[in-house]
Amino acid sequence: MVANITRKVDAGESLSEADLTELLAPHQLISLMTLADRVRRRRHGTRTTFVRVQQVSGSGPLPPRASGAGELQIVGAPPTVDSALARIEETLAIAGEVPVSAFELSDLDRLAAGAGLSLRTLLERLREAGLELVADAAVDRLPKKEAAIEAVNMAGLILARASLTSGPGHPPIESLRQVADLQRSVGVLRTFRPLPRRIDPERPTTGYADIREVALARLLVDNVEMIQVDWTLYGPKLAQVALAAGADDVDQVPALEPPREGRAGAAEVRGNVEAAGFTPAERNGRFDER
Amino acid sequence: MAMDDLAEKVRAGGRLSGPEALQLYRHASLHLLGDLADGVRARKHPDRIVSYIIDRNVNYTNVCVARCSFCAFYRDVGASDGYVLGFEEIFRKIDETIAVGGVQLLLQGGHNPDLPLAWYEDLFRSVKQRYPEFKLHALSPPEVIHLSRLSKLPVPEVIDRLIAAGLDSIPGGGAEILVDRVRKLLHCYGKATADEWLDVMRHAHRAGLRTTATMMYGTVETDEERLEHLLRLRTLQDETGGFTAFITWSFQPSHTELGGSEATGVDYLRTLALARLVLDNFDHLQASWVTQGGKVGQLSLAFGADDMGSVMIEENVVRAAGAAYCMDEVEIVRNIEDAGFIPRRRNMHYDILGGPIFRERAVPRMHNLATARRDGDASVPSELLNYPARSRTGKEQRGQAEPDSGLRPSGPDPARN
Repeated sequence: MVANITRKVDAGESLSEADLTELLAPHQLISLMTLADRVRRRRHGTRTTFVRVQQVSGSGPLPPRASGAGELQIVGAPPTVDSALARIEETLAIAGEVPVSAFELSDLDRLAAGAGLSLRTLLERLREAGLELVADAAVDRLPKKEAAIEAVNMAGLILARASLTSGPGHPPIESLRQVADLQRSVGVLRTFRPLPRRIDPERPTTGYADIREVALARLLVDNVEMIQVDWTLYGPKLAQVALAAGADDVDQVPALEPPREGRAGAAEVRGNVEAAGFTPAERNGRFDER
Repeated sequence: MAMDDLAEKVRAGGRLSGPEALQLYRHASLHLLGDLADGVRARKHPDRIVSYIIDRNVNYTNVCVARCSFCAFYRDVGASDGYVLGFEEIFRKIDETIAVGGVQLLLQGGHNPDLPLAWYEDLFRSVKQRYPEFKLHALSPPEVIHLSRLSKLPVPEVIDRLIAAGLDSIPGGGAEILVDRVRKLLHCYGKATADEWLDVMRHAHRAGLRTTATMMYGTVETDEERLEHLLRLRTLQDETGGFTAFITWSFQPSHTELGGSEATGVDYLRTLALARLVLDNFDHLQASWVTQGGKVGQLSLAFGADDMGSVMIEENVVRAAGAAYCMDEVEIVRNIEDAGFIPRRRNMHYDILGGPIFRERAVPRMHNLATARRDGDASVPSELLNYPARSRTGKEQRGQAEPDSGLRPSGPDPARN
């Protein structure tokens, strides 16, 4: 059966429910990884990009800009429109040539509603303040996904990443298909990060579940160019294995050197990418190679 | 040989030669290695059982004269934070282990010159007296060699005396890489050469003990030397059949003299898969979640492992070198089942003891592995006074200084060495 699924993947045909049910069986994990890797190599060869991100909190004193940063990301939900605008201006003042990304799109959607603004109007004001990139869109938190992402585009902003807050779930097929449908509608998603942005410490996801979801994302979300894995959140070991399961972009590599204990810096990311048989290429938040 | 032919040979159950194994290790994709290793696991364990053991890693002393450059755990003789656990402390650890369903101690420690063979014999006897059914999986080959040198007795006699005192099996620690070039570079050639390590295991198997075998990779060895290690184990296993399982883990560099960086997760999975392919005469391969973390530990089950190792309860050695992962029985069972396998408790001989304990009764949930002692606990067990020390510091601590030193000798019978 796997041979037939492989033939379909190679021919670019859609996989049936029966195909996906077969691939989701735990004993097919390596077959699933193999298929996702074929698709990934067809699209990217061995090239694996990574971005060094310096996170900046939404308030308080700004840290000095890390010399290695390829993206300054303002994190947290802004309490007011004015505070969001002020933080963007403060961050731009230290950013130099480094692209600045800010906020999560569903947080901005709520902020706009609370301020009596349309999301597009809010995004245009952020753009006027100098923002280039909306840092993230947790598509499972957006009530009107297409409209929200189109508002980003129409405001002249770029979406740095799309993600899922709680992961695709079990079975993950439906939520991944929704992401693919969303992309068919909006066409502006450059990267998709399938693994959950939040991990329950009492019941963390398993290695099988993580790798299965990365691989399925590569197979099902075939219209988004890059599948990401978060280096800081998932750690070097899992992130490296994910590269052999369809991921081709490593997000959230710490920009500060030396890195926090237990998390790799740029040199270790390069080494790990090479050790997995791929070719590392550093990019910035605009997706330009550095 | 072409890669497809090598894969076919493995699938047909053929034995890989050294050059064939090296070719696979270097040139096969991670997916092919995993697929082949998973096939071997499935042939050996078609019931899809993945086992684990509830036991406790107890390190009875951190004082060690071996000074291996990859070790962050040892302390020099006389160090203020050197320790020896007392018998009562060990009994308390056994009580705690039994309370969560544990069946044995994995008991290992430093090469402490102030602990004579009699200390070990008395400890083992007293454990067996109190806990007749409880198992002692104790003293890796270098510790046995250390006792042989300390007591001036041949290794087989040391093993016989330890068995008589209650030793049940020997853990495969201290193997590192069984190539003397590597052992010299790691400063562990003195504690045991490759031949000496294998000889201890040979003697133990002949004496009727079962043992495990290990490999610590990721220091200074080459691919060929990793493979040589595996082939030497395979040869001894052909001879004795005494190994129950093989465990490999990556060098943990933090706080060690050797330093450097840790081998990657993909390297671990490739090495594990290689071991599954080469060690065709080993029944079991353990996953090393304690060094790789729970996620890659679980992924090991797709790359040839059929055992999740130990619930462990306590761990000191890799924690000292920077790894601090924790999995209690609930987590281990969840990971086994999530990977599509059937979890079963086992003993050291891999006899199945039953299903998960926590489903039968409430056991305390662990969030962190315990350590040998609380920080700052510098107490010295009173029974140590009954044993002769070899080091000057040890003699002074125990009031056993030489007559001409001006300190009064006391206590132990010198014959009890």
